[in-house]
Amino acid sequence: MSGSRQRLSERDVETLRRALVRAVARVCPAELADRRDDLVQASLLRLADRWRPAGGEGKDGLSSFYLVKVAYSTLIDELRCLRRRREVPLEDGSAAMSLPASEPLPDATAQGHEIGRAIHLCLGELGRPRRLAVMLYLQGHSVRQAAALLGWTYKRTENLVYRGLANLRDCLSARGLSP
Amino acid sequence: MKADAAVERLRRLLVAAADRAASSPSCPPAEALWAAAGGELTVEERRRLVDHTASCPACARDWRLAVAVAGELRRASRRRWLRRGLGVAATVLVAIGLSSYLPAPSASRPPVYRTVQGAGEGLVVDDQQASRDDCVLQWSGPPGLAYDLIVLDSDLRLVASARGLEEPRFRVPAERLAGLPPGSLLYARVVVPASSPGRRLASQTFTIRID
Repeated sequence: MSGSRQRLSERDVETLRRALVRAVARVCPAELADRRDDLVQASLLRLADRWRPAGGEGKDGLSSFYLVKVAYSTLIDELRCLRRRREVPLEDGSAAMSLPASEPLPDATAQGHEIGRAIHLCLGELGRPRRLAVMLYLQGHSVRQAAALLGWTYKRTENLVYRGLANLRDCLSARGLSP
Repeated sequence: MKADAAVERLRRLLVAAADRAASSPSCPPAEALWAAAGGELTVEERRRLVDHTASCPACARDWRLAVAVAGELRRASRRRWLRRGLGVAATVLVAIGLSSYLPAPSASRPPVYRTVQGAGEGLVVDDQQASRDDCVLQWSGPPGLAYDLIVLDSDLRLVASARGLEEPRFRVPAERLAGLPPGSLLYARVVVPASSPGRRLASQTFTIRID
């Protein structure tokens, strides 16, 4: 990801915090709705721990490029910890990772989850080029972005996406699923 | 090529697949996903990581998160530029009563910091007054552990930190609090890095208001 190398201001950190909150809200499943601020806060606390230069405190030498990358990494680490349910509060091991229920989105139902898993299985049955192109397209990338990431021409990538999506639908239909 | 409704439906279902999905030890590190999603690494490395996300809902979610974070930062950068460049125009708009058409500034919503809820979660101090001359943080936990602690102010500036504390308490040096205005909140978190293999104890974030 791109990023300039100027020194960070407090405003930069606040901008980053807001970006993390919004990104988690957009991407993470509904079940994490009540944990978003926790996740971001824990991520920033860990980030603060990591950016200290050896032998001192503060944020000298920190670049926004580095900060964003580390912030993302710590956020993912927190998410992974949450998922593994290994992080527990001191004393009471049962309460820390209890995820408060929130109203699920329609696609977050058991059926949506099941079809989503089937999409991953069907992707695994596609040829590799089609799988890669379709995967990026379903992740929200445009054909042009997918082409750039995969190192292919626009025309080839478009073709792979088109044919791969058809294969994917056939595979889901064969499994009795009609998304 | 334009995504139609059917594709949008597939995209939402792919998101749903990440619900409760956990990563495995074979998953790539977050840094690699970040780099690949941003177009770094070699083409073959990027392809390999995309291939992994096709079979791993958790890493697919992490990829989406990388794209979303980068997108949010780009938008924030544009908003900042727009606010500077259109400051005069915004003033005029307000003057003629059109301010309601402008989006609310992002700074309008204060940060939401979640604190320890309820008893039995291992932390003694929570959202209580503390003297800046005698600010002692205390918590409780299993005996015989070494604790790491980090304390930030409300702007996420590092106030104090400590590693390997053998006692479940820490006195924040008064000089570190000297510049903070009365009523400032501190945010603290305690972790035990390696209480046992593969297990990590951590507190939730707790708050202390200094006088």
